[in-house]
Amino acid sequence: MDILQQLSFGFTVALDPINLLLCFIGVLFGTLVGVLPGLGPAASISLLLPITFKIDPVGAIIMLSGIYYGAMYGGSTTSILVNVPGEAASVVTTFDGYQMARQGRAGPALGIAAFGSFIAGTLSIVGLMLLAPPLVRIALKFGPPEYFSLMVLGILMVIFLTSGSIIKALMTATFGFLLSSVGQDIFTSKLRYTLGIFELSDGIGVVPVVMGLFGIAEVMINLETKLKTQDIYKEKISGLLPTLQDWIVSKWAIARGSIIGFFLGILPGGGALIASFVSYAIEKKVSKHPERFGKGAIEGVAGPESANNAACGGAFIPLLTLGIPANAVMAILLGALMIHNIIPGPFLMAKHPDLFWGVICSMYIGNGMLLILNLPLIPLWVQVLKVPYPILFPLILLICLVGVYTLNNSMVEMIIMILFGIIGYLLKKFEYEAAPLILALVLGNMLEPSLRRSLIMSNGSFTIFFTRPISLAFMIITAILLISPLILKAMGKRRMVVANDD
Amino acid sequence: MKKHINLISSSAWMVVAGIFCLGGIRLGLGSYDEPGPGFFPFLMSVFLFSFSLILFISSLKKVKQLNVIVSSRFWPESDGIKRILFVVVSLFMYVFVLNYLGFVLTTFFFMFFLLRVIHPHKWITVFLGAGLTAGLSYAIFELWLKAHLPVGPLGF
Repeated sequence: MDILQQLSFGFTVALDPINLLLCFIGVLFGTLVGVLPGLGPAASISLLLPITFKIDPVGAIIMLSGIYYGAMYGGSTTSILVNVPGEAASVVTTFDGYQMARQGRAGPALGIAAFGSFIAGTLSIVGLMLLAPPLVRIALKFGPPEYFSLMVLGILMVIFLTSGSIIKALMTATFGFLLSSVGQDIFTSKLRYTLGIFELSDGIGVVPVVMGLFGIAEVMINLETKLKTQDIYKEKISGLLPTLQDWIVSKWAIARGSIIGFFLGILPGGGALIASFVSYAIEKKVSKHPERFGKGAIEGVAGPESANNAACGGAFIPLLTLGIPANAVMAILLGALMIHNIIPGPFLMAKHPDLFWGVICSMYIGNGMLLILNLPLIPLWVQVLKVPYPILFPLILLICLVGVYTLNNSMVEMIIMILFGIIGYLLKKFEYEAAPLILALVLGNMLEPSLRRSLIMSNGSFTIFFTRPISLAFMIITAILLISPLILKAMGKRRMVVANDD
Repeated sequence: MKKHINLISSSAWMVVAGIFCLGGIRLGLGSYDEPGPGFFPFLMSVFLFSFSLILFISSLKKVKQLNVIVSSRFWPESDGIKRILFVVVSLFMYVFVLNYLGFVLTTFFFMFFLLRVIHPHKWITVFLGAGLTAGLSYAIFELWLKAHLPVGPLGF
């Protein structure tokens, strides 16, 4: 089937009334999540995850994906109006977006953010559509050693691109792998680390862990300080359409942001946050007037907002084609697919073309819905921002509790969620990232079997990872990644020595 | 400051790694050509222990005084600690009483507690908020999504 045929099939699936409704619910909820600080896409997807078990897997993934890219749209609203990022990838938008609002240009800032997001989102979906099929053909040549090497590379990339300490990220990742080993061993059926608890024989579920780490822990962190309402931009917002001058200034920022975001989104550990920072840095670098940045430069809004939306499309590529999540949100989506008994990877396109092409096409539709939702509904989102956190957090906790209960009617899973809420709180306090833990928890169930199968295939020799060309390529990149900090450190010291000699 | 919290956390991780390591050995490591059920957890726990040790040693080098554990600013103010503890206790209580009181009553009392104790609202807000939330969530999860929530002494 060629691309056009596949696309028309995908649109048939995406335009099904139920799937359209689920797409709308996803993007609406995603925008809401993006607008509300303190509730990110990861937590929100995990909150809605249990509800998706009652619906068709295609519709479920359409809805959950809608939350992800919807949150990128919504995040810009609080960044511009309140100087508080609605979600992490919108941090950069506060630099110039809020300044524009203070200059009475909140409307054009919001408008260019929405249009830039739409253009970048659409372009990234085109990229996804064109890149995915050839990648699938390559991935069909993968065996257990290639998957093992790729997963090791993927998790290490996430760790090395983390904003915090690398050694701490390595620690949380290995802890995630340890947690993935809880349950019944698939090779020998032996129970591992279940402590005699029957519910743990199937392992520790991703949903309770995610809801604990991102939902409960976030509430606990927010409760540390006295709860207060936001200080919101009070002027009437007018003129949402950017002027011709705004478009002239922003067009290349949007184009560059789209490309940067898309390719960074593909890389494990890349993602929307890094894409937005890189885009901002590049826009400032190429600008003829870099001194304008931080004082209301519209390119400082257009570029990063385009980048973070493009990264969403890019992030789907490794998930759908290789079954490797590029970030924590993709890891949760992977968990959702596996719960529906769908294994993403090179066979997904062949075995579940409705899901593969349906999700891609629904993203085109979802981007259009978001553009329509975001501009006229801004006054509504401003009202939503006024919902006090003391009212919001009990609802978040209740949704977490009920959501986990509805999975398997299990008290044990509810307790696991609460315990991971405490763990998540402590991880934040002691400055550890939770994302590597989630990634490792999800990847561990694939990494361990790949490792053991590879060793069985090679009669116990680890050289199998270095003798197969694709696996060797991944291992070389992994080695470069591991030694690059040491090389950079040595180069830094050398420069200091040279400078001192001068 | 950071060095102290790293000493504490890396020590805790070493204990966790040790527990998983012993568990892996008990499960059986197998051989390289036929790895046992304990092979992967043993390998990961060795990595975790090694990383924790690296962090511990690097933190130890920078510590001047070991008698100061954490500064008072690391933990939140006492009101914040109280709010967090109340929330954690209320979450556990929710789980333990859910099967006895049923979903609606448990949810009502849970919301009542959070809306009144954690951040006090007016009584009318508390009663209305708790009642509406319990009712709406029952309607959504039980009646619409057929989630089969626990039934209490009142029949719902």
